[in-house]
Order: sequence, then structure tokens, then C-alpha cells
Amino acid sequence: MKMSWLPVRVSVQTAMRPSGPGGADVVADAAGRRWGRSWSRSPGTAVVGAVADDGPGAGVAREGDAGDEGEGAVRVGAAAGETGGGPPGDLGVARAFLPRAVYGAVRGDMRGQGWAPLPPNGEVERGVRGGAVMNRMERELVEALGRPAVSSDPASRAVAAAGTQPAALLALKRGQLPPLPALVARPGDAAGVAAALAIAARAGVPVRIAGQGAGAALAGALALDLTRLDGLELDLTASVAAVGAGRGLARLETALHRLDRSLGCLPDLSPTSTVGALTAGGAWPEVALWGRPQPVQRLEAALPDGSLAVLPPALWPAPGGAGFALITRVWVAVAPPPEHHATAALAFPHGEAALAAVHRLWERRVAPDWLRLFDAPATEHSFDTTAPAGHWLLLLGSAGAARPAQVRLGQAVAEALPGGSELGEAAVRRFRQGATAPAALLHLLHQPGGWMGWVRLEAAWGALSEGWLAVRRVLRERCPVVLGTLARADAGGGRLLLRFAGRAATEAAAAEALADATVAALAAAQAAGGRAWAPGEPAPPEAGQAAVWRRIAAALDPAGVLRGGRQP
Amino acid sequence: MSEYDLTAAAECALCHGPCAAACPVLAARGSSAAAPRSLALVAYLLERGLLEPAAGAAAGLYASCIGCDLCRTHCVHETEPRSAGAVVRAARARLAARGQLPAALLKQATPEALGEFNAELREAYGRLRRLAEVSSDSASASATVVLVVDPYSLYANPAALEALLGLLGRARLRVLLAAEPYSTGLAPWQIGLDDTAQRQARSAQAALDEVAAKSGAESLILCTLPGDAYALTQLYPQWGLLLPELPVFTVPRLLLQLARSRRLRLAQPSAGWPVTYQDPTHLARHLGDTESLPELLRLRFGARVAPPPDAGRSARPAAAEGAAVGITPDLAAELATRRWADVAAIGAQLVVTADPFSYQALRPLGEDARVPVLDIAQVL
Repeated sequence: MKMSWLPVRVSVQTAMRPSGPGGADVVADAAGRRWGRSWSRSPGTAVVGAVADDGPGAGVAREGDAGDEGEGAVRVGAAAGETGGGPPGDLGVARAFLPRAVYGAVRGDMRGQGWAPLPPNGEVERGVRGGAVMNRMERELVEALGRPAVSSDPASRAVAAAGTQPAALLALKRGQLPPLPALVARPGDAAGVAAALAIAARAGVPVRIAGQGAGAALAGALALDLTRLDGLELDLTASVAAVGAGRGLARLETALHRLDRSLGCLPDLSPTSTVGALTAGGAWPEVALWGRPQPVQRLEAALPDGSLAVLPPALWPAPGGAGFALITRVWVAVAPPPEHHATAALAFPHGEAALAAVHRLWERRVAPDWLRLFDAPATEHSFDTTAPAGHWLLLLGSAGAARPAQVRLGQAVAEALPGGSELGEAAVRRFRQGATAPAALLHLLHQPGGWMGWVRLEAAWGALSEGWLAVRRVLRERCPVVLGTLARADAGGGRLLLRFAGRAATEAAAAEALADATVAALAAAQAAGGRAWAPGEPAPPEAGQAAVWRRIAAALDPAGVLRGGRQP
Repeated sequence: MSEYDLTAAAECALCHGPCAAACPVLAARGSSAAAPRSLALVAYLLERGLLEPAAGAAAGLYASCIGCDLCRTHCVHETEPRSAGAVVRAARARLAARGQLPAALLKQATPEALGEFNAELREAYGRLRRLAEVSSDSASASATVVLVVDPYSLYANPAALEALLGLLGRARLRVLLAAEPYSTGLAPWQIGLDDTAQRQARSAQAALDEVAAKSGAESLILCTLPGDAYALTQLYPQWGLLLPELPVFTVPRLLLQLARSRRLRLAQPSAGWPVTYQDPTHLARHLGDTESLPELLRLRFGARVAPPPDAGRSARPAAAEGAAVGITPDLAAELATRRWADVAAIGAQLVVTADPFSYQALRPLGEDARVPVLDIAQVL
């Protein structure tokens, strides 16, 4: 879907810096819906996210908004940061499909080429809330966590803000800083997280997780870096590990191996994901062994009232991003590391045959321990295989005691093989070494005018193949590299990760190309009957779920600090 | 930074940063701002003028990278892995060239960590030189060793240097030291003081020329610090400095060669407690020598040698090897504590190192745990 843009500029006076008026860019799509982004000229003032709504002027910065806060802040910014919370459809295609991260890069031309250096520490406005509020909050955070655990210098804030989402990378490449949080706090334990959250809730300041595995930044927010929450306690009797939310998966697996235990994850375990991010994003099934129960047993989370609660894993991921607590610790099932790994690689001439093979495995419950399906370009870019050109690659693996693992794998291969051909052991060499497609994509990103992005698509078995091919088709019209992977499958269907990269004539055109490709991919996915979402966005909710979660969030986080200040 | 360095900074800054999983500083600091990608991002933002060096950014570049290069081992660029450490070093050099060094941070560094000889270390150097003259029997010597002695080796473990002289004497090697102490320039180079580094390097070149002229036909250069061997073999050619045409050895490499050729006879292995070791960053990763140290220990202790977790190229550092040890002593101590936990986990009763930084970092922890920590020269 191609949007048509109609830029309008609206002035907003900020009381804090009368000499530095802010403003808002407002755009309208073809259906007359309005989108906007408020901004400020003041150096260091964080730029707020995109807004969109149906009615004229709704959610757009207006004269007098600043006065509502009494601190001179651009209040609309906090509310504007979240636009993707509702279920798709209730605000129309444009709102559901244009994720704020992408929009932030495309329309949020934060500073253009004239972005000024940030002023030294202490002279920086703190975004959506006024300086007095932020200064008081900083004092309270220092009291609660200690001085070394709280930073407000621009370097710390810039690092905390710079996520790894495609739009953020592209903005950085263009020489633009993402929206900066006002403060960065690094609590050392769960109690510290709860204390920081309560302080932010009292001040009405939005909270976002920063650091490894975290999503997009939010202007003027408190960024919580949970890296210090890396504890690991292992109950050998129950085979359960209690893991701090800030611990990276790769480090966790290394530590578990030393204790003769393992998560039993796939060999391409994402090294950048933390336990907390993975749990909050509902991505455990993508790394857990295929066909086995999800490993998370319970969670510890900090609530905005400053308390800690132990919760069942069913509460995450919160549909539509209606989060109401911050995960601080996760209890996951672990097992002794397998004695033996058996791997097989099958090549299929086209996607339908490959997906049919995966579906067959699931239907007949002949599950290997892990499974990955790569489409033809992904196979070509990611592997040193002997697969014929244009073939899809299905990797199967089993682990455990040698003979049972071989037997299980053999059964799975026999079941999946019709329509394909078996490849030798060398086919999976690079996969085992952890070499994956990002290098190829990053290579394109680093070229002049290069850009990259990704979308996730979840679809039922009937729509999976069609959705995959449809999304690929629209992407191939726009960029030379499109790599697709089936990362998760269950009785209902599968989840795909589609990554893409291209080059444009200019850096500015690259941002437009990313947005265009993302929007088109998401539209194609939905047209094919799937649910799709872009990086930085929560998975769209199932029908009927969102209302329940909104009520939970309204009760536990009435100020909406975990939803960017948005009221439930 | 040069254009190439900026490209490298951009590549790391615009990556998703899987190298974080390998970074020992990130784990020790407990802050994602210390992740390799974060530091590269700061370098990139500084270079593009999006951040002011005064804004804490410069200090972060000094306080959060020890140049261990473990990030390379987890780089997504499989065929040509990048080093965030190299990006950080280049950014430091750029800051130094602009006169924007974080002076307070550098001021706290001790002279030996910065590659400088104070009066005490000069005196220690003089004693070592005299000892070398006494212990070297030039009449029966089969070859000559031109010994490069850095200030940190003299500061941290002079006993290891004396033991080394003893071993070289047993192998009938004559040892020569320059009349005046000198540094290779490695430490100032690490923190971006390229002018100082090259000045020191030119002095080192002159000193080595002078000593090599007295050394005879069969001679070699032996560096007590693995990092110095890295500087002589990898950095000097980049700096356009020509050294005497002599092979450059690290201590483990030379001792292993002597042991294998039976010019150095080691005691027969006997039963006893388990032994482990700490691979120096410069030896195992920068010079790619992952075998000399464990092989020497196997010759000396047989089957009792147990490699530590993440040995060889993946070895987590026990110390900030070089100038960083003086700039961030708290970080150095934390790294040592974490590495000691690895060592303790395998139940080792003796820990052997091949660099003075690791020795200095691990020794106090060994004393607390009643596990001796020794240099390789001291256990042979």
C-alpha cells in the first residue's frame, strides 16, 4: 500500500524554552486519516513519536498542550509514542500497518542534516516532562539505586536509545539520533527495578527497557537497562533455572553448560536476546525445542506500584503490547546437555513442497527436536550447501542419547522426504557455526543508500504458503535481497521471519524505501490471511484478548507508564 | 579516525551486536553502554558530530574497552570479522589528536601501565641487566637473546624475569639488554596517544639496532610481554619501522622450542594436583598462539593440566592487558574476580600465566584461595 503524504506544520510553543518553539508535522493518508509527529528545535530535546488517528486534529500537537503539564513539556509526545496498541482494523489499515518505528525514521526527520551536537550534561531538556519533574525523579532514582546506576549524560542516553530495529539503524546511518530517553537507570536487582518503576509512575514518566534485545526508544522516557539482572540460580532437583531478565541467552547457555545443563535451544540461539526480552516478546517457542512444551514456568515482575509479583507465563506476551509490569526474573526448565546431535538437510524444489513436508511432520507428530525452513534466497545467501539452485532448505535436528536421537531424526526425515531430496552433512556446516543471514543483509545496509528491514508473519497452515509467497513477491519488486525463514510451527500454523534489504539513490530515499517495503509486506500478509507485524511492534492480539488485557493494565498501571504514557 | 575507521565504526554501530555475548567488560560493568556495539556507536556519533566528547562519551571509550578483541570471535562478518576494540582505539586516537582526552581518567594511570619507566623501575631494569650479564656465559653460548623488558613486567613480577634468565642460561643462551630501558609504544598506542607511541617505538628501534649489532649471527628477540611481540611484529611494519632482521619470540614460544629441541630439559611429570593456565589476550588472540603455553605445561605436568573454560582464542581475559589496567583499576579487579571463578570451578591447585598483567590480577585472588599463581618461567 502506498500512502500519499500531505505535510502540514503546526506550531507548538514550549513554555520551557520559549525561544525554541517546537512543532508538529502532520500528514494525511489517502483516506483522510491524519498522522503527526511533534518536535522541538531545542537542542537535546527528544523528538516524540508518530501519532495517528481518524479525526481531524486528534492526537496532534496543539497550541496549549504544553500548558497542561505546567512544566512546559510537550505533553502530546508521551501520548503520541504509542499508536500500535489497538487491534488491527479498528483504526484502519494505515494505523495498523505503519509501525511507529518505521514511521519515526521516515517521517520523523529528526534533525535532518543540521542536527546539532548535544549539549553537555545538565543542560539537556528532558523531553515530554518538564525539567523540574525529571530532576526530582533523577534525585529519587539516585537515592534508590545509587549514583553510578543513574545517568543523564547524552552519550548514555543515545546508547540507550539506539535500538537495532531497521528504522533506528537507518536513522543512525543518516546521521540522526533516535528519540532520546531522559534518564537511564541500571538497577542491580528486581527490587531496584520495582523502585525505579514506582518512581517513574509517581512522576508520570514513561518507562522503556533499554539495552540488549530491547525495542525502540521513547522520547523523554526513563530507560531501564537490566543488564545487571543477570543472576542464575539452578535447582538441580527440579531442573529449573531462575534467570535474571537481563541475562543474554548465549551467556545463559554457556553458564548452564558448565553446570551440565542446557536450555536445549536451537544452535542458532540468538545471542543478542535477553531472557526478559525473549519472554516479553513471546519468542521462547522460536528457540525452544520443536514440539516440546514452552520452557518458561513462571515469572517475577515489577509492578508500577513498586511491588514484585510472581506471575504465570500465560500473561506474556501481553497482546497488543498492553504491558503492565516489567519482567525481572524468569524460571525456565533446563535439561542435561544432549549426548549427541543428529542433523539432516533436505532440499525442496519449491515452497509448497517444503511447507507441506513441515505440515506433514506436525500432523503425524513425527517431530524432530528442532526444525528450520529457509526459502531459496535464504538458502543461497546463508549456507554453503550442495542444494540445487532455487531450492528451499529444510534442516532437521535431534539431540539426546545417540541411538534415540538418530531414530527420531530418521523417522522425521522419512516423513518429510517425499517431494524433496536429502543432502549430505556438509549442507549444514555454516548453520552449525552460527553463520546466518544478517551478514548478507548488513552488507547491503552498509552500502551508500543501503537499507534493510524485516517483518514477521504468522499464518495458519492453509495460508502460510500463500502468505509467504505473496510477501516475498511484493518485497522482490522493491529490493534485491529477501530472505525468509520458518522459525516456529505448531498445530495452528507457523511463524515466518522475512528479512529484506535494498539500495536507494540517496539516504533519504532509503528511508522511504524501507517504509514502502514494510507497509507493502504487511498489507500483503494480511491480504493473504495472516497476522503480521514489524520490528518494534508487539504481535497483534487475537480477537477478544485485547479488551481483557486493557482492563488488567488499567488496574495495575493506571498512569500507563509502561505504554508510553498512553492510558489503557 | 580515517575514512576506513569511520566505515568500521559505522559497520559496528549499525549492527545488531551479537558480539555482546562475548564481551567480558559488558558482563563486568553491568551496563549495556559498555557493549562493543555501544562503544562503536559512541565512536560513530562522535565522528559525525552528533555527540560532544565532553558529554561523558570520551570517558566511556576509555573506561569500557580493554582491547581484548573477543568481540571479533562473535562477529556476524564471518569471513572478515570486525573488531569493535579497533574502532574504539581509533576513536581514542582521534580524541587525542583533537586534544580531547579525558585528562582526569588518564591522570590516575600508573607509569608502568602507560609503558613508562620511573626511577624505581629504571633501577630494577639496571639490576636485571647486571644479572643477565652475570648469568650469561658468553663463552659457551650457542645463540644470543635480545631481551625486550617492559616496565610492567619489572613492576608486577621481577621474580619471573629472574627465573627466565635462569632458564635461558640453562639453555646456554646469552642474554643482552639495551643499556637504557625503553618501551615499544604499545601502551600509549592502546589509548590513542599515537605520537607518544611512535616516539617510544623509534627509541625502541634504535635500542634494538644497537643491541642486535652486538648479538652475533644466531640471535633472536625475546619479548617478556606478549603485547610487545605483537607491537614489534604487527604494528611496527604499519608504522614503517624496520627492525633488525631477527625472529621475534614470546616467552612461551621460545621456551617450548627449547624444550622440544631438548636444549632446555624439564623435570619429568609426576602425579599431583591439577594445573590450569590463563591465556594472555595478546598471545592467544592477537598473535594466534594458543598452543605454546598449554603444551609447555603438558611437558612439565603431564596429564594434570586442565584447560580453563574458554581457553585459547576464546579465553576470557583475567586482566586488562596494557594501559587500561591503570585507567580502570576497578574494572581490572572485576575481570580478575570473574576469571578466578572460572579457574576455581575446575578445582585447579596451580594457575600459570604468561603475562604480567594476568599474574598481577590473579595473584591476590590465589593467595586468598591458597592456590599459587605463577609465571610460566617460574614453574619450569
